[in-house]
Order: sequence, then structure tokens, then C-alpha cells
Amino acid sequence: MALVEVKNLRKEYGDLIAVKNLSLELNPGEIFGFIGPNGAGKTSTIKILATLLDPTAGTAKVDGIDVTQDPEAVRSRIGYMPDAFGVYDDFKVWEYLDFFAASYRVPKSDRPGLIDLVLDLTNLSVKKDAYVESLSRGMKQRLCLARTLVHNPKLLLLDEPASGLDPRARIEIKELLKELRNMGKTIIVSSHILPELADFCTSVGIIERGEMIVAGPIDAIMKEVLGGRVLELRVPEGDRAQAMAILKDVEHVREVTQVAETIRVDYNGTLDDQSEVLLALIQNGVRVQTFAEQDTDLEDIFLRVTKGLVA
Amino acid sequence: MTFPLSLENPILTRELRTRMRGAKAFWILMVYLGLLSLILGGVYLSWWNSQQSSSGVATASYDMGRLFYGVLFAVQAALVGLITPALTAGALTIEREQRTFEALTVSPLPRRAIIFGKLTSAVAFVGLLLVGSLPLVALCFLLGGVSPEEVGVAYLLLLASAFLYGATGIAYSSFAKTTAVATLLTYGTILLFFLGTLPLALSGIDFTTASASTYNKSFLLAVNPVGAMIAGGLTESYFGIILPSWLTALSVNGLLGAILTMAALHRVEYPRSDRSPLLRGLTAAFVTLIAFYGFGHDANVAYLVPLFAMLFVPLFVAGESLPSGPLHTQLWRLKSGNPVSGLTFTALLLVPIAALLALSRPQTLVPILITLSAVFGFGALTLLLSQKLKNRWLVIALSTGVMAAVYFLPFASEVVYGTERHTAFINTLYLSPIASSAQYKLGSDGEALAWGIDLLPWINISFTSLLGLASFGLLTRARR
Repeated sequence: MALVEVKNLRKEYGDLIAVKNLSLELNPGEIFGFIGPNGAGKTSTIKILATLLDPTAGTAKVDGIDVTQDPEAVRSRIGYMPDAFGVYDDFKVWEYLDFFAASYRVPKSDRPGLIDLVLDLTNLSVKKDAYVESLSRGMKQRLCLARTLVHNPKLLLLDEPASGLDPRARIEIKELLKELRNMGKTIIVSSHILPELADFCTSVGIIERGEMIVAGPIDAIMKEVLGGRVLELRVPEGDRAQAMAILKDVEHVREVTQVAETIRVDYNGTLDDQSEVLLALIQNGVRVQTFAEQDTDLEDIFLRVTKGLVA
Repeated sequence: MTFPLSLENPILTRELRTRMRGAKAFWILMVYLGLLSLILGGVYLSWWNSQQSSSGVATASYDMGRLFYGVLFAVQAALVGLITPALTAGALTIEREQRTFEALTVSPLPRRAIIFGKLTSAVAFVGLLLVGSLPLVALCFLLGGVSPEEVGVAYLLLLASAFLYGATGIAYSSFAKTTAVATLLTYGTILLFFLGTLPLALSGIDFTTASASTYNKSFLLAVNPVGAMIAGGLTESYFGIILPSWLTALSVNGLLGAILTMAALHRVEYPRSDRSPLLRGLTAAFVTLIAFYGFGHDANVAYLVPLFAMLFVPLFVAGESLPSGPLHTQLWRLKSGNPVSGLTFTALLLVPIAALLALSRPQTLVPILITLSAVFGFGALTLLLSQKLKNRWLVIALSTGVMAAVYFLPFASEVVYGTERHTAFINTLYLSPIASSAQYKLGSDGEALAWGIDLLPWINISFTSLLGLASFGLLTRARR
């Protein structure tokens, strides 16, 4: 059964339509990247799932429970991290976590162990007795993430978890999310910056002006939007013209272009057939220096599918 | 300390933990006790001086004990009024401003735990301050003239006012957007409440012996926080039932605090489980209680009945927009919190008032009729405004403004023109429900009226009924 089921969701604020006709289904263990420019409707959708907003129309279910029918039951199943959040500065780190564990009705005897566990996971163990006030921004962000984990939720809703952080803190958050993925958590994470999500999401959805433009596993989207993979290879300058001529005749190659020192091949064959490309070059005596599939370039997809309509 | 899981309130734990953290709480305690000691020291010195001078009359020590008691508790009542709002007015707005409220609201923690936790911690802190003052109170016992029961009751009353102030703060905190606004409104309301009952209360206090001299004002005296300290031990007969003043104060302040707490809860509850029946029930109980004390005590205040209508019409009839469906069916949906049935509810509030009034005074029909008509007239006008404006606060402000103008303008003319009675303004008395209700009190003003004083109630009733009919007509047209 799908853990998250969103059907024809719509949210209006007066005349403004924040979300229109959005549908989404997520299975347990999936990491869903919610991508879109600022104001596209990401936060509204996440807030509806977090039981903070009522949808104007449509349904949203978490673990089979409608968020408007039984919000209490949904709340104990989710961990929500808002994009702009505050912490209680006059609390110590462990007290902060203890407070939320108590709010989530975690039995008192289980709390110390659980707090140590989430502190360890978020690399905050050394700060256990420090005041929240004294933490850096990145640490506060990690603490907030730790807070969403104290009741062992099935679904994590993370709204822009890495916004406003320096590169180092960003990487730490990313590592933490990878760790959570490995633990088997289902996560919905939103961002307006693409590379942030690319390497740990199992699927992504691109939203613009309240509409889901494309959604699905990254590979499938690549295929759907770009129609295949992009291969990048480097050959010595002397061999370049010959190589490009050979490549154009290989099966499944749709386009060959030169970008600075590299040759880009738009390829829509299967992964098994892909070796034919390299074979063809080598058999013809081209000295191939590098041969690589270009990283899943969400940026490229994003620019292709969105129209830049949201300012 | 370990709680059973179901009883544990994390909010309370947090508030208590952070409240006592650092030096702040101890500074407050020190300043509180320091101020009390200083004032008491001053009183003691002035007494000492009067005893030293040859012309001074020697005061018995038990009189001194009563003076100490009076000063100590009157000052404490004022200090509690100053401190408690500061503890609760920001309770929810600070969470919103610091963006911590969202995280709190997605937890399965019920909203009532948030409200009760914050309120309890504030009252508990005031309790700590009060306990701190015990050694000073012991001085009164040293001098005599004060009974332990009296002191016990005074402390109980101080806690009750702390609850009332705390609830006022929480209620404003749940409605206001910023802490500054909530704090301002809380102190403003408490000041109004305080000043509203103070002149009457003061007129009843004999400060030299710290006892109330005018017995028939002990109801208002008891409701006033400072007055209650003096009036606590007095008793009063209501409809032949003899009640101590502290019970009066406790019931009025307690019920008012409960209503405000419920209002705050109603506001933050999500999903909006409709608490209107409870809120309306508590209000009806409160109105009945006030009518019981008011009329049981002095039936001559019957002319104030229309004032009640004025207080409750904006509160219960103003709304954002009216629910769809025919008006006459909406009128009877008393259990839902919609403004249309609020009109019926406000009118129904007059039933206990009329019943209690009839008990104490034979002719009750006229003020009740005037009020009923005023509720209909101004209620319908407020409904029309709610339909048109769709902004609750604007509707409340406008509706209160219009009513205040109609109710009180005729009296303002008196201020402007002084004893010069024969002015055109005199006839505005016909519009005011209070003036019409209090016709027998108008004196020479009544003689100056164009159509005679006997017609006053009936012209007023015609005016408010016409206002109501016209508003309803426009309302049904607007909804078509």
C-alpha cells in the first residue's frame, strides 16, 4: 500500500491558487524530491500533508489516513520540519528533544536512549548539554531534524532543509539524509535548488504554479524529458573530427555535439547497448581518454520542463 | 518527579523549567518582596512617629495589625495585576513570532495542554511570590486584629485574580498577532476592569481600619481585586441567601477566567472542534451569576439591563461572513457558533435576567422589552455589517461604536451644555435604551422632552424595532 496518496489536491488562498490538481503516490522507502521555484506550491502541499492546512479540494492520505479526517493519527506518523523554524533558545539540547519526545507521548523510560540515538545520528552528541542558543545555524538545523525523528515517524516532511546554510553545513545535512534513506525512512524533501536533491532522491516531482509537471523515478523522467542519456567523452584533438563522424553512425545515437573539449552524445539506447558506442570508437582506432555518462542532470530537465513563470 | 504518562504536560514542564532558570525569577522575587518590605517599613515608621509625638493618639496594636494587613494585601493585589499579564500575554504570540508554534502544533499534543500548561505555570509562579510574602504577613499576626481565616481567604482571592489575569493574557495572546499588541490589550483590559470597579470599591473602604464601611457596595468591592482584600470577610444577602463576599469574588473571577481560557482554547484548536456550546453555556452562567448578584443585592440597577445587551451583541453576533441557508433556520442553530444564532443566543440571555429581576422587583417588563428590542435592532444591524464587511474585527468595532453613540450620546449633551437643559439634544434621549430604561431617574431632563417622559420607552422600542426590521430587510436582499 502506498504510504502517501495525494489525489487532485487543490489549495486556494482567496484568489490565489497555490496548488491545483496535484496528485502523488509514494511507496515506503522512497525519497521524493519536490522541486520547484519559490512560490510554486511546495510548501502548501507539504503543510497539507503535515495537517497544518486544509485543502480546498482533493484528498491527501498518509498511511491510509485522510489528513483532514484524523489529523491526530497522522501527526504521530509524520516528522515535519518547516522551512522557517525556531528553537527554544533557553533550553539545553537534550531538554529540547525530551520536550518533543514527551509531546509525542514517547514513554519516559525510553526517552534517554532515544535522545542519545538521534543525537548520535545527527552528530550532536557533544552538544547534548549545551544550550540551544549556543548552536550554529547548521547545528540548529540538524537539531530540528533530530526533533522530527524522536518519535520514529514513518514519513518525514522536510521543507527546504538546507536553505540558508553554508556549503559545509549543506553537505552535512545531505549526508544525514542519505543516512536516513539507508535506514529505510520515507521522505518528502523540497528544494528550489536542484543539485541538492539529485544524488539521494529515488524519485522527483517538478512543480510549477501549483501543477506537477513531471513526476517519477529520476531515470524515467530523464527518458521522458530528454529521451535518453547524455554521454560525455574526451578524445585527443586530432581524433575529434573522426570520432564525431563515427559516433553519428552508431545505432541509437541521436545527436552528437561538441562542447569545448568534450563530445556530448545524446543516446537513447539501453544500458547494455551503450558499450557499442565505445566499441565502435576503439575498433576504429580512436584513442578515447574518458568515457562517462553525464550525471543525472536535473538542472537540465528542470529548465526544459519549467517555463520560468513563477517569479 | 514522575507523572503517569497521561497526566504529563510537556509544556508545563518546559515552562516551569525555563522560568526558574537563571537569575531572572529570583530577581523578580527579590524586587517583589523588597517592594512589600519597603512599603510596610514606611507604614511602620509613620505609625512609630505618630506614637512618639505627644499630640498623637495612641493606636491599639490590633488596629495596626489590620492596617498592615490592608496595606500588604492591597499592594500585593496590585502587584499580581502587574506581574501576571507579563507572564501570559506573550505565551502564544512569542511561539508564533519565534516560529516554534508550528512544530508544537504538528505534535499530537492537544492544544488544551498548551493553554493549560502555560496558564498553570504562570499562576504557579505567582503562587511562589505569594508564598514568599508569608513572613511579612506573619507581622500582622504579631500585632493582632487579623484572623488566619481572613489571611487564607485573601491568598485564595489573590490566586483567583492571578488566574483571571493569566486567562486574560492567554486569550489576547491567542487572538493577537504580536506580543506587543497582546500585552497592550491585556493591561488595557485589566486596567479597565480595575478602574471600572475601583471608584465604587474605594468609596466603600475605610483605610484607617482597613475594613469596609458601606456594606451595600460589597458586591462591586469584592469583585475589584484590591477591594476584595478588604471585603473578603463581609457577608451580604442576595434574595435572602447570605453569602460571604469572598465567595462572590471567587465565583465571578473564576467563571470569567474560565470563559477567557475557553475562548483562547477555541481560538487555537485545530481542527476547529466547535467549542461554541461550551463558550455560550459558560457565558449564560456568567450572565445569570451577575444578574443574581446584581438584582439580589439592589433591584434599582434594573435600568442597567440594556447595557448587558450592548456587551454581548458585538461578541456573539459579529462574524466574518454569514453561513448560507435561509435566515430563519440559522437563527435556531444555537449549538453552532454562527453569528445568526448568536442573535437568538443574546436574546435568550435575557431569560435568566428577566426571571431574577422579576424576583426582586414587580415591574420588570419595561426594561426587558426595551432590551429585547435593542438586541433585535442592533443585532440585525451587526448581522448586516457581518454580511457586507466580512471582517470580524471591523464589524465588532463598528457595531460597538454605533451602540456606544446611541446609548451614551444623549448623556454627552449634558456634559456639553451643562445645566442648560432646553436643547435639541435632549430629545436624543428617546434613542438611548439606557435612558429609556432609567426614565424615572431623568428628573428635569425628562420634563424637557418633546413628547413627554411616559412615551420614552415606547418610542425607543419603536426606534430599535424599526432599525432591526430595516436591517433584516436589507440583509435578506443582500443575500439573494
